[in-house]
Amino acid sequence: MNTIQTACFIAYKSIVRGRKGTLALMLIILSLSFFNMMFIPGVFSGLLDTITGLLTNTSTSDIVVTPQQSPVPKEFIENEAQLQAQIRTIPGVLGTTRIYLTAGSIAYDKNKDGVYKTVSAQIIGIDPTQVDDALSLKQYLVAGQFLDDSDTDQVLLPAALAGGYGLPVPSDLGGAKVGDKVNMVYGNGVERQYTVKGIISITFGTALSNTYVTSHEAESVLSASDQASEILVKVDSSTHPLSYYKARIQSLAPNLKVQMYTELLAVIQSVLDAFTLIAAIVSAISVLVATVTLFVMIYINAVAKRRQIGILKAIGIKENIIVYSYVLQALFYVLCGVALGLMIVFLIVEPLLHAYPIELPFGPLLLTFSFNLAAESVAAFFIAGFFAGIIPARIVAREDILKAIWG
Amino acid sequence: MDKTAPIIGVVDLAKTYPGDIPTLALRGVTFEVARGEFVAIMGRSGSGKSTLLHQLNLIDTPTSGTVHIDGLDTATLSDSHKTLFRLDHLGFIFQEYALIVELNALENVFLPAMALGTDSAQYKKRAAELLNIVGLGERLEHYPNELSGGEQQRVAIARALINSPKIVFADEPTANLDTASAKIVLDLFTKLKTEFGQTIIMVTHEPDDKQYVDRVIRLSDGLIEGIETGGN
Repeated sequence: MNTIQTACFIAYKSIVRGRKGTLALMLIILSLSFFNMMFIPGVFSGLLDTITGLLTNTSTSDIVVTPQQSPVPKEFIENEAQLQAQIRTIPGVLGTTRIYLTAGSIAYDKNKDGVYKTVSAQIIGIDPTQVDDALSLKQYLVAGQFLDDSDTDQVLLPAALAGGYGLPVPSDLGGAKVGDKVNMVYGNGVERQYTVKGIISITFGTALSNTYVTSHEAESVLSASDQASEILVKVDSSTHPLSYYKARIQSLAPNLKVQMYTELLAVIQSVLDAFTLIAAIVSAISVLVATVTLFVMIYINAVAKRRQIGILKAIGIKENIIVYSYVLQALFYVLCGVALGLMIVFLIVEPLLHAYPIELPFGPLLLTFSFNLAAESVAAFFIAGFFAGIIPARIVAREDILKAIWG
Repeated sequence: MDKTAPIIGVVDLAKTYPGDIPTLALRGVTFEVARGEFVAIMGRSGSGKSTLLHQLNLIDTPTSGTVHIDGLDTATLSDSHKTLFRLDHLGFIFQEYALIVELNALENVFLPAMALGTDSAQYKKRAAELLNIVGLGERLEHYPNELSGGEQQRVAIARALINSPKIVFADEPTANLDTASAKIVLDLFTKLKTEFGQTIIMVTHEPDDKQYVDRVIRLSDGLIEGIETGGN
């Protein structure tokens, strides 16, 4: 007990009476290292959340049910209304919707002179009222109005294909606007003319070419009824993990393919893995910088007090007391560095990015921090601090008393 | 414990420092120190007086021979026990700058008592009393850089006494002091001996210091050249 008490006392006095400039420099380096350790993974995590959010809001929701793959692949899910009703009875399921997927092309005569520009598109049939239960398409509407359930000759064009929105696609229609007529040719050869009811701007991945009609219209084109290409399911993932819902849905429809969005977004997952690796490297470098800084500072401090350490040992102060006093100093510096780093992250940078987000093509970049990341960063810093304190202190404190005092 | 027995018994003590040419710093020294005695170890530079002191106060380990302190053969102590023994039973006064710069006078004095586990109220009171005895009762809160050399040495004396040591070892305590400050320190040693019965072993090269001590052990080339009666 008196060992810890004496070590704390020596450490406290060393900090209070130590050089303030050195202390400030050390705290700046430690806090910036800690900030770096939190910020980079936070950026990557925020980036991934933005992309994932965009895709789950516009394409996949949380769980995707697709038609039978084997033994005989089928184009559509049958009796989709009954299946949706069954899925909605699962506790934690927030909503469902069905969609029809087909490919096609869109042609537009901008100048009404018989010269058409044609682009390929992914055509999606939606139930405009029910789609809100699983997707959030309406928030991406940038012009005109959303579809109504009764619409048959109306279409929502993607901004990227409509043209004039400065989005990165190889070709577009040259500036189709709300109210304009476009001709669409479906993959099965059916040709229809539609009025552009709205422009929807989803600016990432395959969703760039998503063109929406109503399910009724899609059914009439595809000669389908009570069927679906996909059923999208929104769930409360805070009560159960996604895998739980997947298993429950699969038990309702054993022949259908049920996938979580994380399985569908394998590319995103590989990006996540790469980001995680980069973040881990950055974090390791941050910890290394902090460790080396602390080590050097503690070592220089201990070497400068070599004679004093010798005198302490000579008068009977145990080596452990001296070593612990340096470890406690190092841990105090880490504590202050971490506290300052957390303040920089949560009181300065995060509110600043919230108020003035960095706009990316697919949405605003926000910082995302998890408790685990913060806890791991803090733990890593304290472990680094412990070793950066104990090693140099031991090196100096183990020196022979006579050598330490008289050189 | 026999109070009439010598507090220090040294028998055939030798110390050789290894090297290409080994240095025979002590070559078989034998003497005793009585309880409450004030002894000076004197000799020319390189005579082995500091080496002898370091063997007596357990900072160094002799090559051969024995040192008994209050009947205990110090060779039987492990390093950690030697550390604790120094803290509990021995007091140290160094030549110069031996205070901890981050601690004020009071804190410097009570640090060894704190490390020993003494009650905090008790060690603070005793530290203040000791500083009062050495004439620094008004300078408890002063840091070493705010004290003169003589005052720092008096703080070191108070520190050496905080755990009521059996023996106080002083290594040329007046070497860096002016004459007036040196006299204050030596008068203080005399006071400790006469009023408190404190055993003191002091290494000094000042011939005039002889008048303050009971006996002088004079060393030359690692051997006792002679033992003289002091002027006290």
